[in-house]
Amino acid sequence: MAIGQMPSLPVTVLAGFLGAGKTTLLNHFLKTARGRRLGVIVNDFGRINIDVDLIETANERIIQLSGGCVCCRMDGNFASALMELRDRGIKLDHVLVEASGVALPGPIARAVPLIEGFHTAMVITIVDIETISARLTDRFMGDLVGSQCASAQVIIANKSDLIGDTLRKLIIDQLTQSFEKAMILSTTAGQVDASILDLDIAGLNITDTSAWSPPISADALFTSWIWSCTDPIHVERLGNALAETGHGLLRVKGFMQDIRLGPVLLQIVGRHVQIATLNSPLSGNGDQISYNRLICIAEKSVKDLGHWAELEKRFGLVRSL
Amino acid sequence: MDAGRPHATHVLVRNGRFLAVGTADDLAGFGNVKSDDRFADSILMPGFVEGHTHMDSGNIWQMVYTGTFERTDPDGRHWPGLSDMDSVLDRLAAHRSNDPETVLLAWGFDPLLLGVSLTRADLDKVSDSQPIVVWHASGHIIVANTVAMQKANMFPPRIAHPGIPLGDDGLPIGELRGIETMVPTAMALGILNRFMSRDGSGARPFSRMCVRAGVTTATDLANAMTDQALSNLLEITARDDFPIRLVPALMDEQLSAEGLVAKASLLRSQSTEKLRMGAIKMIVDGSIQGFTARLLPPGYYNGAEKGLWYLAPERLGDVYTQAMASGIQVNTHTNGDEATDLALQCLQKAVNANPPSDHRFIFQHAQLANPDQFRRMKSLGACVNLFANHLYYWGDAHVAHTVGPARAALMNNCRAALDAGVPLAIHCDEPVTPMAPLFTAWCAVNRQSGSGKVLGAGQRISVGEALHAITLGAAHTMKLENEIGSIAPGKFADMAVLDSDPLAVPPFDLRHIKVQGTMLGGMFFDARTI
Repeated sequence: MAIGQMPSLPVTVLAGFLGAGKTTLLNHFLKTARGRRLGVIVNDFGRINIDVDLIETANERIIQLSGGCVCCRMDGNFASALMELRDRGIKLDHVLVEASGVALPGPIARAVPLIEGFHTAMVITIVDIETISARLTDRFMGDLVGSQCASAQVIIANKSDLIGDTLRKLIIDQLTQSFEKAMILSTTAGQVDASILDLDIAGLNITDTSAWSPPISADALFTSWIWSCTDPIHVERLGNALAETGHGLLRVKGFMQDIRLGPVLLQIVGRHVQIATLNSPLSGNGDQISYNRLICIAEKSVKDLGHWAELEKRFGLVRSL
Repeated sequence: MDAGRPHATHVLVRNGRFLAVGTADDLAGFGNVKSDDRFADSILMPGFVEGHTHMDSGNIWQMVYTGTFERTDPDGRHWPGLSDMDSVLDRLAAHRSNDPETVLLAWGFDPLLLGVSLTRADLDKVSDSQPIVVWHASGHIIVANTVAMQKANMFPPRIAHPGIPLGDDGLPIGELRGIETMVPTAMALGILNRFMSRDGSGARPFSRMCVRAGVTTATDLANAMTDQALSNLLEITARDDFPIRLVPALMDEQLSAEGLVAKASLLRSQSTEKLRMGAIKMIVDGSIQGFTARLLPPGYYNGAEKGLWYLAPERLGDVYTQAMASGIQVNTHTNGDEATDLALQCLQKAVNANPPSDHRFIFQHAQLANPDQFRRMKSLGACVNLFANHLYYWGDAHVAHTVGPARAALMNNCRAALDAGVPLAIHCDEPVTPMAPLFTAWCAVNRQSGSGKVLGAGQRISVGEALHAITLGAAHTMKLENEIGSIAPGKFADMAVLDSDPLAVPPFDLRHIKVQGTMLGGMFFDARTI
């Protein structure tokens, strides 16, 4: 997001070759949305699980579900679908664009900000761990699949139950080496929760995995929570403290009131801390921004959240889920 | 035009079909016949069969033509080719209006052939108040003036994007490259529907262009065949004054392979004598002049990237296998030789999975197919429809930019296709190049580029072979050889009426033969008044 402008809606591009599990993942995102209003733009409604009881309104192109999620059929191009969602004034928190199996996600991700009101959150490319090595060296499609992975900030190695531990580790290592800027997750049956969408990292231009601290374990599942506070704090100190602790904290993002700088945007990815001052006052619709509210994402394996207690006390943070 | 009797003086027609062909004596046995000597001084040929055209070209003329080659619109209006930037801008200026709400739309501009690119600054000279959008001939780039870019919120630039190139002044030069920048622009300007209409409304203007070209059967590759398009087409083609048989091919990327084949089967069952449905269209890669076709090594002459895949092999394989099982014919767009290779591999699997059948799947364009690939097509039972017109319209660009002189001389290799025994058709891809089968035949016979360079004299075919490819040959690829393509008893009385005999003129003059009109089911359509 450009600092000083109105917040725009994050768009995640979901790529992956035929049969990798894009639809399963989308269905899982919808199931685990937990209050996030997701707009899902798909090639066809056929394979998306839409519980008829949840349908509020539907037309040929858009199905609105209770709980705020919306499914939209692409009908040729994602740009017109995004514009339609925007122009209908549907309130959303995140939009997912399902790219076709042979689409290159890079050009789509680059085109998203051409449409007013949206920015690119990330490219997620899902691959079938059993076939990815063969796909990447396929005589015809190898360069296409390689490009799908190279554009991704997150690569999900799906169907990891289909192969043994040794082979899985080998393939994940290969993916990690080949696609340095991506975070590699492995999962079975597309079971990655929607909280991963809060990563919203494309704009940060992460170029190497050293930003990801600690390294992501296989079968990574996520948990997310919100820290809020009432008074302005020393944002830089908080950021450094959070980045130093590790403890499976992947991503922190939120608008804060800094005691010295005033309104800032704090972003943490692994050990990277970025604090940007908001140089023009957010007038008019500025009420859309909630200050002193940090969205945090961590590995679910971090069961003991007790070590945050001292930090919460020091900075006056209240945790809510 | 039956092989054993290539010439005749008389033809007898009853109820829209040929009853007999031969001399006056041959026809005497049919008793009292009404004589019609309107065409005594003309040459009658089987009506031409165009295996690769787009019906929506009938609507494209609502935009202003700015191409390098001369063309004729559905109203018969002649548009001279524009060979320099000043004449492009003059033509645009002649069509401008002062209404800032109406977008001035133009098409066919070709920087590869003109040797110079069109910019925002050029278009601003035409108008600084009316939005102007010019569509490149490749279809992959549009150019807009400042007002149009402002209206589309692309000016001043809000973000850096490779599809919006900037000039030395840091401002957009006006080109919007690729679908991802073109679509938001077209939508913001409210012109998206003018770029692509799919309701069947192009059929009538398109059919008038067919009459002028001597075409009596033409394809529409591809058509989504919505319910609205189907009912419109059934209604339009049923009229007596609709002068062609239309052969749409279904394309719908939303449908599963099963769904696609089921829909094609249903459409086939609703076919009429003048609307022949049931074929499917698949697109494997992009275009050579747009550098999006998939090429085998050594790739593009100018070092451009490998091109794009438009579908996954699994999808193509599924559609092939299931279509073949249901007797549905598939048209496959491949341009690059790598795309042709992939389609051949998928076709091999489908052939292996099905009992032997006369499927005649058609490779459309296959411009870089090599002799080995033609032999594989033959052994797998496929046909090919080569893009002979490309040799003329983009031949010089292929030599200079896309594939270089060595491979340009082997493009659209009709000789190799026939030598391998592959059933051959040749086409124009209207609106990509103008529809005129005799000109297409001229291209295959002479292999001459726009600048007069011969591209691969060894790949030429004879006039007879070329005439076969635009009549019975094309009909065979479409599995319509029992009904059209030659003047033979029992077939539809479809003919092209010409002012001179293509077999009598020098091969280099094929292109100058005038089409006087067509006859469809025995009814005459005059090219001068259509």
